[in-house]
Amino acid sequence: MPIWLAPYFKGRFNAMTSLALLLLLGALLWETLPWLVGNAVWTNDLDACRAARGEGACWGLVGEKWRLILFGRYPFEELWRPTLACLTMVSACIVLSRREWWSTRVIGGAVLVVVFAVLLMLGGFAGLSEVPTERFGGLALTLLLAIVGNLLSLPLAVLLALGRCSDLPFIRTVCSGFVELVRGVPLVTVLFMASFMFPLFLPSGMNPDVLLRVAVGLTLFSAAYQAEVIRGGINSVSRGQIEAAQSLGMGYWQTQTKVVLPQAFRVVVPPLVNSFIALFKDTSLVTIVSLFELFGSLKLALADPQWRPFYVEGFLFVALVYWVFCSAMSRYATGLEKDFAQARR
Amino acid sequence: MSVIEFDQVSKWFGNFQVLNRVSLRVEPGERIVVCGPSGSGKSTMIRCVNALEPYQEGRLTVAGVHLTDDLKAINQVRQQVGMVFQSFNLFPHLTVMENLTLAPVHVLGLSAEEAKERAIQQLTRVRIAEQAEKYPGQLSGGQQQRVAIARTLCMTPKVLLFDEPTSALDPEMVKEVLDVMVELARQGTTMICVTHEMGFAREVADRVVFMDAGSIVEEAPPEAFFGAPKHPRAIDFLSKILSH
Repeated sequence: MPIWLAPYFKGRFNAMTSLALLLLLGALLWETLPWLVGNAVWTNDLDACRAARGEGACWGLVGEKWRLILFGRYPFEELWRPTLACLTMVSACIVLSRREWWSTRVIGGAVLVVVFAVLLMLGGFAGLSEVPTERFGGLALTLLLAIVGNLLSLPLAVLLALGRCSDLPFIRTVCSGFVELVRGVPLVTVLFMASFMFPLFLPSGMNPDVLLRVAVGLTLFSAAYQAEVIRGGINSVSRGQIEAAQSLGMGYWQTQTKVVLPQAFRVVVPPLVNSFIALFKDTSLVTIVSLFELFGSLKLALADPQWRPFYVEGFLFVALVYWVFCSAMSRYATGLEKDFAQARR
Repeated sequence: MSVIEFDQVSKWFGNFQVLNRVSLRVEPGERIVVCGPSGSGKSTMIRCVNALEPYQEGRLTVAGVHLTDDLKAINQVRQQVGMVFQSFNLFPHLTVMENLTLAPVHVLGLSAEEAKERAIQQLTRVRIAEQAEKYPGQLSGGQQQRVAIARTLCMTPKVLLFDEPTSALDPEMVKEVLDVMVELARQGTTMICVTHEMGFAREVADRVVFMDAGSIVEEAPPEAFFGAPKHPRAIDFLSKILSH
């Protein structure tokens, strides 16, 4: 027996548990593998899919509808634009998240990438046809909302957290009030407000883009939660740290940005990434205000009555896409935690 | 002119009076040791000097600046007063070198090279230059406290405050820190030191200040204080602290 396996079979109890779990896993694979892989139909052949129904999965659905699922109602002949936008955003995330390159310039870089992606998809210049934001969709929209949301909500959350820890009663009250208000309502309500109620308060003729309003709503919502996470980190920094910085003559902002926040962020990496992931998945709620991101686009695809019976395969595919992105974030966070733990000791 | 001048300073935490009409003058180059039972207001008194604690009555002047709640005055004073804490309070996320250069760069506006040069100079002074690239968590308590001393020295303060700098240390590390402090004292650094290290007081202090219940009850040169303390509380305190 290999050495790493030995502990699983050490003693009667461990051995029994391991065996039981192995059997369970085996049974599970035995049941699902033929459907997932063996009998599955891998071509866009609708008749073959119908014939295999119940016996094998119909991955032809993905083959047939992947453009719609990934890019929503974006004009078919212009799909290279959201594709390039997605690739840029994903590679920028990978490049900018490298620890060695961290600096304030990273924020500038991220903003540039987002602006580039939005302009590319929006068009209306340099021979690019103009595409209204209502037609943005699929993975492109999910990525855009998640990245914009997190990019804007984090700085806002830092300010809210600092505000809640402030010595000035007015600032403390305003920040606490905002956080408590936003945390007290469901995200769906915020999105409805952003989408339907907000325009009613504006003078007629002024009607900011619905995508913009929804992005702002998501950002504010996520900022309230992240603010609480960051506040927890700030509170974990000992009073002595602040006193040491003060006694060296450092002012409020220097103390916060050089001493308190760097330590606070190290503590809150796990819950903060938790909230990043939550926001990534929460973007799926924008379907209720008729923006078709990844999940909404799948429903668009399933509106086709011929392919509708194969919705399970569609959901599995979309789940896989979500999982790839979320698990990447969580693995990155695990790496960060290890780095920080090393630096401390 | 005095560097520090307490004039009838009083302070309350809620209804509890921690400082009761404290008056004390410290001249340039003077070394003051403050002692007294715990809760007597020693730490609070020196924390007032760089405005880590506000006071409510009286007048406190540091380096010619009258300390009020005016932020400008406070920052002016803090740049001239260095403080060493009982629990070191090094910044754990920064290396020793970064700990030392942070304030000189961001507060004094030195260039990175100047700050680094100054840091190496001070680290050498506390005999720990070889640890510059380590993180505080990798150092022993005594080493950390010496780094903390070097960190305040990098700001070239006019006065150094020590708040029980050896109380959190293992016994065998106390000496290495005290040695550094003795050396600083010999070089004419103005310092106020709250400590129970009576050997240190005897060796370097110009004056020993004994506090009880928020007041300075006895103030004398070390020979007089240790040889013939006058106040009954001081006699009692010394008999306890010197008997073991």
